[in-house]
Amino acid sequence: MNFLSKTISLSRRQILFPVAILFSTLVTNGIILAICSYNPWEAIWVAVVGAFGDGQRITETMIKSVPFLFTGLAVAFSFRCGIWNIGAEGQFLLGAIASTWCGTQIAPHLPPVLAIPLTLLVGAAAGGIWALIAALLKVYRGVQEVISTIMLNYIAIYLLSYMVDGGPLQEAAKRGPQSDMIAAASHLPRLIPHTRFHIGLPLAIALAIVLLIVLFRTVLGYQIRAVGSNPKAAQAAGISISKNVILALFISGALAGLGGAIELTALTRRLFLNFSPGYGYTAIAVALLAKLHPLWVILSSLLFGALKTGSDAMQQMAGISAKMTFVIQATIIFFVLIYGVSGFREHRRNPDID
Amino acid sequence: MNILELNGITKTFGNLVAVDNVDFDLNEGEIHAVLGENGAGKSTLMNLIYGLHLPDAGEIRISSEPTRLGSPRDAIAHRVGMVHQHFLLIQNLTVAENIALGLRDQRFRFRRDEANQKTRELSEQFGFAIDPEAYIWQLSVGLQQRVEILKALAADARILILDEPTAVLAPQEVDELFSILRKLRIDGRSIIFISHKLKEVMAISDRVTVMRNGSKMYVTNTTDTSPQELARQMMGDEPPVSQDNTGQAEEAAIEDVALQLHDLVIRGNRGEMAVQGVSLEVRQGEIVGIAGVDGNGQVELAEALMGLRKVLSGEIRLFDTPIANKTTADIRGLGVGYIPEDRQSAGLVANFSISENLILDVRQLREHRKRVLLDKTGIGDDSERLIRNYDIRTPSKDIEADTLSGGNQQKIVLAREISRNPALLIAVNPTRGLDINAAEYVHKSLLAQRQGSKAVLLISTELDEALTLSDRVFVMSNGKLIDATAKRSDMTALGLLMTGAETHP
Repeated sequence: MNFLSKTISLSRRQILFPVAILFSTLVTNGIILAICSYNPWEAIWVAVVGAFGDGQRITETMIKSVPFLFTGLAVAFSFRCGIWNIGAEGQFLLGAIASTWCGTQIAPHLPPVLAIPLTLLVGAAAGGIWALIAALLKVYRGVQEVISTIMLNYIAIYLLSYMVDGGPLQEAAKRGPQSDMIAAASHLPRLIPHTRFHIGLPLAIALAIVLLIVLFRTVLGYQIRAVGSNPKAAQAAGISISKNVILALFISGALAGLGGAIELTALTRRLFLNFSPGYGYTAIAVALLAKLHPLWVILSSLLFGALKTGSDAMQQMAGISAKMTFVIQATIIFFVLIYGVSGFREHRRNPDID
Repeated sequence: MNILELNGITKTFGNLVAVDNVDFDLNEGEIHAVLGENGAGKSTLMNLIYGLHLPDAGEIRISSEPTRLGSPRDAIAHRVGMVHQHFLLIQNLTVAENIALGLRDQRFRFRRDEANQKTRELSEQFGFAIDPEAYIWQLSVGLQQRVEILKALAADARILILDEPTAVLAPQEVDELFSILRKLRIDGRSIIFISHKLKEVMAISDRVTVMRNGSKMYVTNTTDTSPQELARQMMGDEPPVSQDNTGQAEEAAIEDVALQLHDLVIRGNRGEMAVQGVSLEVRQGEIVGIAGVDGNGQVELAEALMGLRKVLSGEIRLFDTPIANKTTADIRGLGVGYIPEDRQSAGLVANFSISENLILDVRQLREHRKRVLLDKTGIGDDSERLIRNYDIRTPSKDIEADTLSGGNQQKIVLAREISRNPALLIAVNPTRGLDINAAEYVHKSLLAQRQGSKAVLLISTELDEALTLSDRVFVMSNGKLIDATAKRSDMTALGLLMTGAETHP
């Protein structure tokens, strides 16, 4: 398929980009660790072993990357349409909340063949509808999606804490801020015995390929990219900006919502306070590092998954605060920005002669 | 005495000589108008005086001293002020705050009372009637312009450049501006007044310099000249030779009306009445040209025809189907092709490949789909064919449109819009920025449409283009259309129409 070779063929710049970012991040964080009087060599070694040391750790890294992958794809898709969806966090949470409801209330009465797809679907729909609010506000009231999606994140976060802390989804025993386990019928299967490796990762990779096809081979994807790259030209061509903005945001929200549903049904199997440690925000870095390309999102979310397991290991084995993860993530975002995120947006200057 | 003197100034951009060996001088206490068509080099000349560009050759003297103006800061230090056509004001600061921003002694600590006081004094001195504590967003366009002038005066400018100051003003505001300019003249300030409008130039200026194609054509005392003479100097004597054979024009008259406009009213971006009651017919087999200086409502008209801008009132009919305020997709579906004014911003998606750009039209998209998928093979074959037929010079159909020259980019737009044989083609400045060969190619394509009994509406700021290609020519000025077909060989008369000096044919 020549479009595949076209869309994933690598220029030297494309290879250098992640390498340069990784290298700069390592050096910078090495210095930061040294200043905080840790041994940077030891810390980095511990992190690498923690993330990739054995089969168990590698599967754990892969598991950790799944929420990044879904939310990263969500962000990349909306950015392709020129929509700055900062709300993957809220959409992810809404997905989880809705699937918890479905998993605890509906699924117990259903066989797994129905319960699993239904629970996932409800989660995706909830995320999509959550994003749709921002889309409709943008199209009909001109509200900046950056603002509205951030605000919807806060609403989602507090909605979640209400739900599991005194609200309708709190566990029957009312011991803590968490829900009951969802019905076994709605549990996503785990693939490798004695690990938590579940079907989420293969599903997400398949989804990334589907999104690649949607973006580059379908009429819808063409229109979304046209609106994202040059709305004025798209409009002159007769392509509706409103329609594509609404569709792209809905799809983006649904992807994030599905991510929340999968994290819930495959891994945690119950909802609790702080269900997401900020996956939806990190997703922005994931998507930008991947230059908004669905297949690269797979790799960049693996990197962020490794960062997570690596920093957990640093904490356990080298006594380095897990807060360092956030420092590392932030430096990665900085370097992504420095090395030219803007590369995917075309800049031009016309000498204005009159 | 000359306060400003330019000797042999030349400025080139790439291959384009924007200003060619121009001499210019400005007396103390005079209003000196600079007149010329779009692209005559007026703005470039002013940008040189304001330090936005450095000249390639020549000398600028201020008060007889040779001066190097490397930045606006240098210009301001030499007491040169400029009021740009698009104001550079901060909307949610007050008048006095905006003025204080430009002053050196207000750098670190803002002394509000002092700034208000200074603004009030200046405003009273020249009769500006401006409240220093009003916010910019509260002010009308005319008052905002006065704030811009105040900014320059607060920096103690003695040379004031006004770039088409009346373009944004209502007639009454123009009178008020002129009385302010006269007061400034009495105060000994020197003013360069850039304009297209002959009437205003005659009314306000002491001297006039006329520019054409980057050169200075003419300089005279305003009292020694006439609007006719200025128009002649601005446009040149020679009417361009018509490219078509005139037999065709009569034949065209019996063809059906393709596009009919009746009393169209359209608002511009600032809410002004950009198009004020335009009526027009375009028949099959003819090219109707609309000439005119930029910013007289042409772009708004074209956008409304394409469904990209709302029609306030009036009718648009395409073969008797009303299309006013229909969607762009519907209008394109009825067989309208569109070559937008700016191919970079509205005609192409820069990071799309050539073949992707060749289907950037809802109708083409509809034809090149297999259910939800794009028909890659069909698109590829069609692209190869169009690249051949329209002579698009490119190594491959898969490279980004961005990498091609302007001429080849325009050929992509042409290929896309014309290959579908649109019943009506709307072309806005289709050769802007193109070299001669590419422009020729565009012209031939438009004529071929006419030959094929299609209707073409050509909107162009290049008078030559509108005259040589069109069967009938109109001039658009201040949102109104004037039939100029009978005057097509009289450059002076056309010049008067285009500059709004004469509103009735």
